[in-house]
Amino acid sequence: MTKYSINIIICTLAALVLASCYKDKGNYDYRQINEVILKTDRETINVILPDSLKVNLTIEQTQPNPAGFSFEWVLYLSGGTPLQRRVLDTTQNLKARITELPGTYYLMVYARDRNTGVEFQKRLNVSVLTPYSEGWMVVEENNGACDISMISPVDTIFRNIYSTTNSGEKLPAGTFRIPEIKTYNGDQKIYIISPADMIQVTYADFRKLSTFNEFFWEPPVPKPQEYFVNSFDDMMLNDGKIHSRSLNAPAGLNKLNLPPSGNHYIAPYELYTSSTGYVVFDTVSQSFLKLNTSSSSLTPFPTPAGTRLFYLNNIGKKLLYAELNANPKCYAYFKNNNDDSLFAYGFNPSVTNPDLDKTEILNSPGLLSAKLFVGSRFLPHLYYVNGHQIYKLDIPAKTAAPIYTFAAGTEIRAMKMYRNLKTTTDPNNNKLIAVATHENGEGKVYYFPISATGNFTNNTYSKVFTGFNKINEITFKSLR
Amino acid sequence: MVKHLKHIYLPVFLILLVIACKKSELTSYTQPDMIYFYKDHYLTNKDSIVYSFAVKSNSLQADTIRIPMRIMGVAAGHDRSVHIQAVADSSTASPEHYTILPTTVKAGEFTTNLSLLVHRKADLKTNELRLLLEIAASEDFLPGVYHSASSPSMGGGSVRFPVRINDYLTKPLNWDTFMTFYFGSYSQVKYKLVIDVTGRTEFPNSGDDRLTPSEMTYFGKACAYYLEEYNKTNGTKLTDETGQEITFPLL
Repeated sequence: MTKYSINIIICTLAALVLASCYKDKGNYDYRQINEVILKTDRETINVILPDSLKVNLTIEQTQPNPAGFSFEWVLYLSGGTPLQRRVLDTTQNLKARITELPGTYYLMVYARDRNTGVEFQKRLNVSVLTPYSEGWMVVEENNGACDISMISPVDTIFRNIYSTTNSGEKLPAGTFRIPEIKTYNGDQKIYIISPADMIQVTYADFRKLSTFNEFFWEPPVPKPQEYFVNSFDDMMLNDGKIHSRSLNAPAGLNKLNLPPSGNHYIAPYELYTSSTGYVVFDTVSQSFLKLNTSSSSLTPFPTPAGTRLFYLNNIGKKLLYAELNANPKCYAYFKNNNDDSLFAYGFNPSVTNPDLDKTEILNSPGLLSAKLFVGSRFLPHLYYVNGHQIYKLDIPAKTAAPIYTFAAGTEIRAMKMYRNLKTTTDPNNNKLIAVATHENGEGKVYYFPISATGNFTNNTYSKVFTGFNKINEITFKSLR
Repeated sequence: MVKHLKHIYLPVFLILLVIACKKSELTSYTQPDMIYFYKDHYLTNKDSIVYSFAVKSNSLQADTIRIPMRIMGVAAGHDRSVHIQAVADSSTASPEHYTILPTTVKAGEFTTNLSLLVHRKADLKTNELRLLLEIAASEDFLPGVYHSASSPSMGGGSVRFPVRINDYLTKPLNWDTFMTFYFGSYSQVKYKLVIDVTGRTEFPNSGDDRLTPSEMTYFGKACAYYLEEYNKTNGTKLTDETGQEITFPLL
């Protein structure tokens, strides 16, 4: 390379270096931007179907321009996968008919400044509801047939909602169970059990979806008892036999399977923890077993080393009732095989040594022949019904006493704990018991809030709903 | 020399720059038309087929096996023929056991199926015969992909395809990888029981007619219950061809 070329290169580089140091005088043509604030007349919206959604939008801006804005209102399903969107309107004030299924949505309004092209947005929360989205479902029987009514959170009673949706068709006489309604993967499942049938209905309007045989690969003789739904584990109990399925599976047909082999008769009580799955009590072997819903098989608990309070694989007593207490602790209530002693066993099925406490209940009037039970999820308490009285069993104190007495002749037909599975921060969640009675030919539903001591607040009920037929079952339906 | 070089570099550099900016045209397929056996990764029998008359009706004397094929190149405006032949020194089946039916690729099509007619002969009761099919050059196609393994994202191909033919129960190709979870270890007696109970001979775990885990669990449990009842009724445990007691894992 010649000396001349080198000089040219050096000069060019020097010019570039000097140019990079050139002071930027910053004499640009600055403009004030149009500052825009979107304001709506509503922030959180509940739409009760069938209805339309109206939202008025006002725009506060610092530099109004005749070009104005273009608008787009878009509704998204909250948490939906894949993301679902529907454009509701393209005018400033939204007015659109809502056709979405009940659920939680969010509404976005996009306002684009036509002059600058800058877009502004605002998000609103929308709950799409039906009159039947939330509330106590009440199964009533009259003239040899059953129907469903619902008590809404604002104490409105919707009557005969099943027959209204299903062209006048009623539920069979003796319909006795609507298992706790869970939501899995955005779908809320409602099963209705009668002595010789089990159906599934839509969560939005209780339209009948399927009948007993459709649940099974090989349907058994129908004698349904319970249907438990937890996470992706479904467990159905028919005449003491378990029929299960795991929803944690590839897409495709997924029905309830044949029961586990062996001579079992499973007690109809739900014990489920996320780490162990379903724990069931076999009344034949008088032992607890673990259920694998995928393989539809039962596994006994191993015998822990050393001397324990009791062994889940060898209880040797008759089960009265079992329920989850403070998760993962479970309580099971037994009577001995001579029907003259009562016991409460506390255990955690997920650990090597499951036994936690064993209590011989000394004084518990009416527990041996009790027919309805509800366990506390906070305290070592069991509520049970005998005759026209509700009792509270305090396990550590080993005693039970009536905490509410209805008028003589009252038949207590159902008793459930209020569990709001959607809004667990609900102050009444697990702290209110609903009781259905039959009094002088009339069905009634009472709400009993529970105080910190476990007794009913002020020793009485807070609300009562009347005018029902004979009530067979009550179940709370949470929002999806 | 150095002085001249800069006069060469600069124009060359400028020409390269201009060429780099030129839009490249799409190239078309310029190879001869070819065809190959297509291997769908998710099909159990993508690499070979075992055909057993034992799982068919006793009256069935011949059946047609279809083997998927794909072309390389573009579709033509007319039907084109494919030449398939048996590789004699790698086959034990004789022409009385099979007929290779004429195979054509229809106008406008990119795929076809080879149709192989297999005949039920007495010797298949005791012997499994092998037939190695091979794509030979024809007027329309040359043999295509000689061997390409399939993957989850891409199918494979080959110009040869082995077929085994028999008339006794043959262990399904996906027994050890899929069926074993529901039926346990293989035996001919167990497979016969499975066929009797479920009414099925094939249990695909891929493809459009694949079975779900839920349904396979049902089949497994149904077989276990059947065996339990069989053993109880007969007062003895059912054993397989080697004398081993038959069991099923799902109970």
